[in-house]
Amino acid sequence: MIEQTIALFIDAYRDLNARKLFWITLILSGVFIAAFALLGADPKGFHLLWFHWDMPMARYLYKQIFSYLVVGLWLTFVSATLALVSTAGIFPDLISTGAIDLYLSKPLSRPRLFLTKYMSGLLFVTLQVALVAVGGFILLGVRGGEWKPGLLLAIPIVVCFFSYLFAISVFLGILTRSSIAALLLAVLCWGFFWAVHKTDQFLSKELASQDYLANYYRDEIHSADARLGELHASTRPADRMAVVDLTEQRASDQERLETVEAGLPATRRTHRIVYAIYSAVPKTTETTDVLDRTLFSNDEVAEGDEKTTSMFVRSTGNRDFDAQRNAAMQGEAGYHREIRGRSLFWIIGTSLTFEAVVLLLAGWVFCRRDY
Amino acid sequence: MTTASSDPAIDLHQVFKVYGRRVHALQGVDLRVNRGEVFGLLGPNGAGKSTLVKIMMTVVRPTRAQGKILGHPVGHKPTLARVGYLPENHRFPKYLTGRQVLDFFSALAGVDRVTRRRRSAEFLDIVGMTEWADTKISTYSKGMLQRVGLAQALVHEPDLVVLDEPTDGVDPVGRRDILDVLNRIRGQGRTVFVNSHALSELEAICDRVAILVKGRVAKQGTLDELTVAKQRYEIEVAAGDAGDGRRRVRAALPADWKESTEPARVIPPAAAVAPTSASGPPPLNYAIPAPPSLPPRTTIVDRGTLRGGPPIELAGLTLRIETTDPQPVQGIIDALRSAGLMIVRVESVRPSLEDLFIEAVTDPLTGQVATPGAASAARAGGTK
Repeated sequence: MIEQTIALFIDAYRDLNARKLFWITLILSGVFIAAFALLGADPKGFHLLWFHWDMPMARYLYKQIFSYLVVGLWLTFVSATLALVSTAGIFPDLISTGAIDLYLSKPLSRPRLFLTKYMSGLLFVTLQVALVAVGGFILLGVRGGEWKPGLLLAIPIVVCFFSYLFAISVFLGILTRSSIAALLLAVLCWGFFWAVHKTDQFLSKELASQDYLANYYRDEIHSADARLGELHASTRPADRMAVVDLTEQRASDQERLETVEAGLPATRRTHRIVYAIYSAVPKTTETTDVLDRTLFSNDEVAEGDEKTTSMFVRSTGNRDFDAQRNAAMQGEAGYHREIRGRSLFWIIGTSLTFEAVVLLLAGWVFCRRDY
Repeated sequence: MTTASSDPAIDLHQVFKVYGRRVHALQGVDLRVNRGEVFGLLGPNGAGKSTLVKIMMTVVRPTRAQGKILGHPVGHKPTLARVGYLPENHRFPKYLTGRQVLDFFSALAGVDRVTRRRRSAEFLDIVGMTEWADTKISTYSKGMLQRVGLAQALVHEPDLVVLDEPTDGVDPVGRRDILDVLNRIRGQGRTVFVNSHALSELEAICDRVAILVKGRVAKQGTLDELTVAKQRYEIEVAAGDAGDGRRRVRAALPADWKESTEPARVIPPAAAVAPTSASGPPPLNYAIPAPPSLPPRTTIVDRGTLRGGPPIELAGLTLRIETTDPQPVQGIIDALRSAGLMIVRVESVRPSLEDLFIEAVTDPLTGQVATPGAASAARAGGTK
């Protein structure tokens, strides 16, 4: 049994080794890490080669750039796409006539062959991510001044993220027997998951933002009512004018509050539906964002949001514009809190459940089919 | 050494396979392969040969199947460690070398690393591929791939070797080498199951054969068993006028002739005219359709029975006596000579495997050769 499993893994490695794309991706990953290493950060600011410029929160921003470029862009987009391209043919090749006969005629059960082949397919992305994660760990320590062993969690996290897509690719590859169809449809599914994530993100921010606005207008109406009570008691002419202005402003705020409150149930309803769909599908983006939790503590994120707000939020004197902008900023911060509040079980557990269902279907078709 | 024991290597009963409710690929196949023998499976395209082999190798799931392979039920995976298989049109991973192919697939068969290394070298040598052992198989010719494929089927030293078209695409030297290897395997007491269209090769190496037609076993047995009933004597006479010659033959023989009311059979022009000894014996089954380039000819075959003797047939000026006993032939020769007929040929004819094959796939009533393909639902019940 062990002999067979080892043989299948060695074969998977030989297969990868024979694919030029594997080596191209590996070299590109190395070049990418090396290029990123040109940029460094210390408590005072950034330095690129022999240039240096001061920047507050340089280390925090350096980690942000690292998270966005190395993890977000390279590992979870470029590398994952190349991995999908490389691995899309594994199952269509396996089940092609003349090839599958050789495997099925061995004392190897179909479920075991299916699972071992599936696991060996993840070898591609494991090797790629291992290189980038170790390189990134050293890079962040040497050039960013932060030694974060948690970064090595990128290996299981990114492999986990890729496994969602690979499961879909395997299922479609077995159904269609075509590498191209498997690849294109898997990418299409990935696009759908991303769209659902973005819709959830937008609606979450919108809800937080609308909640903020509703509270803001309620507070404004309360303070206007309190002020109007005081002013009604006054007999000064200036106060009579203020009463008129404040009444108008209160009416305007009341109207806006009603508009916001009228829109909130629909937004909540839509968000509930999208959230339900999102709960059922793999959370590709959020899975890789889990790595941010090891890179940034909750305090760091809160502090970052606060500093960003204080850096960019200045009163324009336009009350409504400021309120809308503040609501948007609060929506962003609220979303960050919500995302970090979502449990690992919900993010990874539900995604793995989806993957397990897809794999079960793929395995069922694989095991039941006549070749 | 063939052993017709109570423990056959393959013992299949009532194997059925229906694809998608309409295509009846196998319709109750019964097959028995004794240990230590070389068994040949023949049949026209679409007869169900590959389906049957794939069912044995668990590549295809039977609709219904009873029986055992090496003493275990069909589909018993651990048994496959004792079975070697060379599929038709096999596709090995292109990135492997010949040696790696053997190493990989014997590992899947559960052979340990040290043994694999030793046997890979040994079997590459047996199939004459040592020189190419470390070359990527993507550079191999079809014949070389077949050799490596054969080595792959043997490298774990199985008790049963199942080969699907093993000599397909192999040059004559390669074919001879492969047949030598098969003989060598038989010499080691292993059972070989060969599915092939190369009838002459099967005839040369098989102890027993089965002919599969439209999902059913039409014939099964040793070559002797299958051909003995079809052995006959042929006497060919010469006459200036064929019609007159036939009348004289019929008049000379003490036989009860039946005027054939059966449909005329299609025979090739070459067989309808008197064959010469140079062209070899005519086939027993004369219902081979004429080549497409030639117009089909039909002839009425006069049939009868010698009084107190075997059945006889008169086709053209050739008299066929369905017997292996030379005794009644003597009397016929005497009678023909007494009638003044000139005998130009007397021959004892034993049908070849090809004759058996053609006969098995030919409808005895219409003389039509079975069309390729499995039986559909509509005609599944009427084939036999």
